[in-house]
Amino acid sequence: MNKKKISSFVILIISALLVFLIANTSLVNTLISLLGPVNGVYSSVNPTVQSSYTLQGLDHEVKIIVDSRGVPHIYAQDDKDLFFAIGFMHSKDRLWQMDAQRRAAEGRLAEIVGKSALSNDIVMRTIGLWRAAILTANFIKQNYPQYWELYQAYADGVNSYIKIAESKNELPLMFRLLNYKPDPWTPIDSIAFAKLMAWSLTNFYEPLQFSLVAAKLGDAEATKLYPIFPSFQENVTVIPGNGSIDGNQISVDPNYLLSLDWYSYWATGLNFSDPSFAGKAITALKDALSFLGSDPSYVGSNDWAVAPSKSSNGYAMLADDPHLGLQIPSLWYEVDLHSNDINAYGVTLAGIPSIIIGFNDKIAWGLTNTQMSVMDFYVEKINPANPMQYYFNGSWHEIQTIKEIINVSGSQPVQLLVNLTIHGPIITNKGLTISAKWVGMNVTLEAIAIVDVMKAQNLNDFFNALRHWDVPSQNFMYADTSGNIAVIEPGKFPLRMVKLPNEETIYVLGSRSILNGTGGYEWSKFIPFELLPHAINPERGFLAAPNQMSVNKYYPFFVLGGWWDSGARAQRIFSILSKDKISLQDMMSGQSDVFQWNAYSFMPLIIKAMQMHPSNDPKVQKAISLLENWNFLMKKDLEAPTVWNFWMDSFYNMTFVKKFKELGIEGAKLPLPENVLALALKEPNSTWFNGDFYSTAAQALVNAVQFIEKKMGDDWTWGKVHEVYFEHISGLEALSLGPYPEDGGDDTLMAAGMPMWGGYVTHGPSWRMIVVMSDKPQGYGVYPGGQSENPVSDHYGDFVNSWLTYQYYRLNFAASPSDINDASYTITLSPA
Amino acid sequence: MRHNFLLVTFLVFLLDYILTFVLADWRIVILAGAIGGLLYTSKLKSFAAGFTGTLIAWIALMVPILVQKNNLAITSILASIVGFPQALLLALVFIIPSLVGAFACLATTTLRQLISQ
Repeated sequence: MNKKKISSFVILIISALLVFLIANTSLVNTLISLLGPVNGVYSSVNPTVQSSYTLQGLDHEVKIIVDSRGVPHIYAQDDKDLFFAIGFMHSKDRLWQMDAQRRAAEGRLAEIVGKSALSNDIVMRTIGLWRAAILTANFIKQNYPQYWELYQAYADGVNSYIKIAESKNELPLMFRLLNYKPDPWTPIDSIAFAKLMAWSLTNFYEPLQFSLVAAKLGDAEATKLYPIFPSFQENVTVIPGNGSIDGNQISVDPNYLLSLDWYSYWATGLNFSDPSFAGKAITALKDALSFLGSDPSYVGSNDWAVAPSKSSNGYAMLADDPHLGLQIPSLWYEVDLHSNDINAYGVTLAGIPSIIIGFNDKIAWGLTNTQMSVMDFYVEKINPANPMQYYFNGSWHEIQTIKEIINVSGSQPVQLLVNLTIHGPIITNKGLTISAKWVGMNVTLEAIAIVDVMKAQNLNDFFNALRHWDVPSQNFMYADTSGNIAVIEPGKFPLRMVKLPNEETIYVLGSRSILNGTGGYEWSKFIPFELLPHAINPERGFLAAPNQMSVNKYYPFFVLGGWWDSGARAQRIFSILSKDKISLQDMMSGQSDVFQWNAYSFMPLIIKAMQMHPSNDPKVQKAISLLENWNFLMKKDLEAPTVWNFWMDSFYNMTFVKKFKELGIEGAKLPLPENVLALALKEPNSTWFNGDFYSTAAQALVNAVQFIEKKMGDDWTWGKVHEVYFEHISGLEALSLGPYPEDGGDDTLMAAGMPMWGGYVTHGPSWRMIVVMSDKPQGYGVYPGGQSENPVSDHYGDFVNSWLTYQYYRLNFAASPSDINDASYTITLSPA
Repeated sequence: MRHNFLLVTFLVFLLDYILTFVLADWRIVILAGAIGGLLYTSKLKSFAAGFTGTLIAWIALMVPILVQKNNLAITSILASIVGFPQALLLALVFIIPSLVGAFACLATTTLRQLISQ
């Protein structure tokens, strides 16, 4: 072979190799495919909208008018077609979000995003939301076919759009980026996502966290840090009065019950004072908490209603703002719905067809979490001779094992064995075997309750609809055009019969610790509907339920497990609503209120501490001066909120965080601010405060100032460190919005808590709504985000600025298409 | 020769443009380049014709897309996701297929030379 030939041969090999390598490099191939002229992402972000579609599954024509904010006003002849159209619009605007959310519930996220989602999938499959969704779906299908038909119609609507999008190569961007296509939607997917929402609002791990303290320090310390009846909340309960319901009250003196040690053997069947048991318990509890991950720290909400007697316009008014994840796309999707028996406006969750928070032509409703216990944790006794058996009610039972295969993108599938006892899935085997029992693991019927809520025409209809509401237990606030206001806390609240030390027996709700699982500490019934906490038209003219204590001491059942939020928001809204007359503007101001009640309560003690332990440091003196002259408003342009916030962080860090770490129980719950305040007033020399509250409080301010100076220099403006960030649910920064400087903080009505020592605000008012119940209800609302998940759509984040500046949109509850004067486009869906 | 260069460039461009719609895969630039390369005897010019023909085809295909509403914006988002400046990402989108087309053209030209030798 001559040189020329060899050279040609080498060139041939190299060029062929280069062609092969470049064309088959995954990153290159993906990039060119995504950005190339054919099959690129351009069709995904420019979906075609036809003025009419002929679709199978419809019975009659449906008209959809989409307004200038991207809100669909849907006009159908019956509910089935209405639900079909909601499914069509949900998937048109939020298909990937819906798919991601159902995957999160079903434990199938790793299938599309890989190992990073594996731990979430393992928890979800262990808890078994998908298994519970199937149980619920089968029950509804058999017993409530008329509701099943609606959920099926919704799924048909979703699937109609999926077909169209696939045929036109218009699946949303994230499907292209992750290179997969959606499975068809089924009613079980809607139910599974509802279960996920329920789980995320009721997965309180307090019994595990409190048990850590009880096991390490004894029952008395646990009771001291976590009193059953939180300090300073007795006058601001959700249900006014002493807690009795229609004349029914608890049979045993509640003060006696509150004085008992509920971690004792008689209450739990466990002996925390036995060092051997306590050691094993700490190992198991830490492992269980690590497995389950974080509980709903920043989840909360506000709602309140004002009676006509208190309202400056003479109409009942309702306000609601659920504090949930401030994600992009938003959890919420706004709709205006009309059929032969539904006329309602409000927000839906993409993936669930009904309006969750909204109003119709007669009533308005809003939701907040009740915080009451619907989950218990049981210590199982395992057969030493057979580890697959547990002891219950006098005999050994087989542990049921379910094999789950989790597909993982880019890796081998993972096999998971879920072990179940009569209580539920086993969440740890280290030290002790502990299982979790949650109301939502069984058949629950909130999917049908919420359909009936949309149709309710009066208080009676509303309460009847909520007979089916099981989980998550919620404070349903109500107002109507007849001038009624009400609140009810529907849900399946499990009761256990407990024999007290004085030999009396009572029913208690929940527990404060893990329980003996061998029998005797079991759920025996649920609170009957008639005795659920509720109040109608209270004399004072208002009701408010910002996650504070539900009921006072004389409630017919002893509420042992209630994981109330700080009462700071309740104190503040009660203070606002105690005015003679409340206007619409007052309602709006209430939702944007940033008065820091905890700071107001603590400040005399902090000032006293600094007087007792003065500092010559000019920076510390500046901090004291800022606090002394502060109006307690957490405004982003002030400096005092920064000092308060980091004083609080510093104080907790020097006390409870430090002690828990020293004791090896880092997962223990930090006590509520008001319980800390009560302890400071009662026991200023407590070891929790290093023997001297005032000295520790003063040093905390010095430490806070040092931290602030290091982090921020001389400019201590709150908005510099307190920023809200709307993270895309994929976690991709390029699709997220913000950060933006924000008002508010922990426990302000305009909730904007941030992690200790800084970090973005990621939870807060996810939907602000106010409704004036005039003859034709007038609604005002805003959520941070926009109607579309398409990142280049005009409606991707168009509500964010209004939300940041506390502006509201007038909600156009349009009884007929002629009431819409800002239509962007119209879609007609016709039956095939 | 100049005539040949223009002819091959045009052929590659035409094949790229048409086959892109027919086969809906960017890797058809290999096929177009390879066919173009069969008509050539000069390696360097073959490479240049393959590169130029593919580049012109991609410009013809991509520019009408990128000038439409939203499309440039989405390239900016994708650039952020992969961590490249938008201009670099767009340049790569034009240059990579052009290089692949050029090498395919060069490969077949070389193969033809080898066979004829």
